[in-house]
Amino acid sequence: MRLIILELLSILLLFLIFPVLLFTDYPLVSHASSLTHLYSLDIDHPLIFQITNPQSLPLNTLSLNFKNPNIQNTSSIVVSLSSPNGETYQSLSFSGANVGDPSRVDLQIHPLPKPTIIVSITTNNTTPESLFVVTDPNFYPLFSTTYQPPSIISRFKLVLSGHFLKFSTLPPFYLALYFFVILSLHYALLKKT
Amino acid sequence: MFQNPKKIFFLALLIRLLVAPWFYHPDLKSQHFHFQFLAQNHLNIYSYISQNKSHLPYTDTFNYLPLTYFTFGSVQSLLSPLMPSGFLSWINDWSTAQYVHPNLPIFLLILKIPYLILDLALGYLLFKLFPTRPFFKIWLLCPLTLYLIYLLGNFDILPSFLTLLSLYFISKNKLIISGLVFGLAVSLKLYPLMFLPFIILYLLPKIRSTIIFSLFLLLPLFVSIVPFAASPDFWQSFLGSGLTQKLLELKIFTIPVFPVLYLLILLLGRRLSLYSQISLVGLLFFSTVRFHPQWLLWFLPFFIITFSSNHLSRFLIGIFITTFFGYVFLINDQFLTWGHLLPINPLFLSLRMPSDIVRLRLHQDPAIIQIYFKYFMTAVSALLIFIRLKSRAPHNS
Repeated sequence: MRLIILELLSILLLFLIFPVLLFTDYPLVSHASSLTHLYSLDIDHPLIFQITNPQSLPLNTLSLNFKNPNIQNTSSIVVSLSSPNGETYQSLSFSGANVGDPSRVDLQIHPLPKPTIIVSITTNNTTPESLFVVTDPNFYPLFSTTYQPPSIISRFKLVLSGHFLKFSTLPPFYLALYFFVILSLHYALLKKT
Repeated sequence: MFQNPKKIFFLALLIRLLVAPWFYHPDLKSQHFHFQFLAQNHLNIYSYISQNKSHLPYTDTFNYLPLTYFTFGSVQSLLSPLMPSGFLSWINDWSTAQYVHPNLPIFLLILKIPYLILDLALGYLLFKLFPTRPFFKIWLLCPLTLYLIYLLGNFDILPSFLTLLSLYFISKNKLIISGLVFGLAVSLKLYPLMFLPFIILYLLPKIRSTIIFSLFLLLPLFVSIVPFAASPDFWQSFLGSGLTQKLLELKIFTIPVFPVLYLLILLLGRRLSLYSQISLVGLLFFSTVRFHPQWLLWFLPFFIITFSSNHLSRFLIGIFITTFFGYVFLINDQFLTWGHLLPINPLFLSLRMPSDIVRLRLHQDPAIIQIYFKYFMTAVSALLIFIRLKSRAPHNS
């Protein structure tokens, strides 16, 4: 019996407790493309794009891809998040020295539960073709965002629904066979003789 | 329950079936990516990869011996009818979508079935070799075995099993089959060659036995390697794996440390059992070589036989293994930490690795801490080797 309790605890730990405690950020919207383009970022060429978050989940990280050839450009880069009517929610600035050749820059944002967010990437860089944002061929940046579920209960629900989805998509024959074997082994172990 | 071998076997099987589908390592996939080409009748995998590298979805060379390819290529063909749909598309998918394939846990379970059989067979072999000792129980219930076989998912369990089987046949004085089995182990992975001088020295008082063993050992090697000897692609791929270079890497005043200390163990450890001698080589190996964690499987059965009987040795080997894991968890590889758990939830891949936490939160260089772990492992190994060489244990193999 002690072994069964240990087994259940291990399963709980791996399938529920670890994910609920450790997964604080969940993927939200992102944009990826196999074809990429380097958009030269300078004082005359800022880059502005829109993030749509229809469920207004509290966006808390934004990851963008930059390229600073030979890490020579030390200009200041400012990423501003604002509403469609121009109200600035937050601004984050960092130096070009923190941008690799190339590298992903993860920006931590105070949770922002807005349906539409305008992102402007500006710089005081005066040398064209010395600092780049990685975009798709239509100059739309490659980015990813995450959101923070508001409470531990909502994280618990997310983990459970993920497991439900996983088990419901496994082929029923294999799933049934697997559980049959596992239960039979339990029976064999618990049998007195 | 822990006294009844049948129940221990059932418990071991249950634990393995619970673990196998839910832990992943990319080596299992990359190896099976290469093994699939046998079913497509590509007999020289080395040339096939070299000629088709530009349009293969995974471009690494196949760095193992031909027998490994033929054995596990055949195993994959046998397992294929058991697979649910999508196995071939998953094995050829190297995008991030591979991590969220709905049948991933089933693929992992089926691919690990041959390892499960070999793992249980190795436990049974320990039972046959030492029926009155708890070694088989330790093997079957030890978390280390689970980690090395089902988390790292490497085929090293086959040469490991064959090496021990060969020693079993030596103990029964069946030298022809022992030589053949040892030859098969070496034809799968070259590492058992490290054990060969000890076996030869053990057999040497009987010259005829030594010759029989050596001749039959060469047979599988000869048969499996000679057809590829003229293939430059084979040599290029195979020599890229570099275990020999790793053994010679650590030098003091240009003298390589491993071979010198290896010779010392060979000379000073002659009155110890073969298992003890191989264990001492294992300790030396992990102290002087930049290792991959899966290599612990090569020595684990011998460590269990050698170090589990005595309190002090058990304590010291426990410290050695704990430090070993400290070293492994600081390797900058997501698939040696949280990444194993991606079949449970792919978000495990997004978690920070212990090496990142050490760097970003503790502001320490993980590589430096790893060096300290390695020093500590070396000190514990030296102590264990010293204790073993000083012990009065008889030559019991």
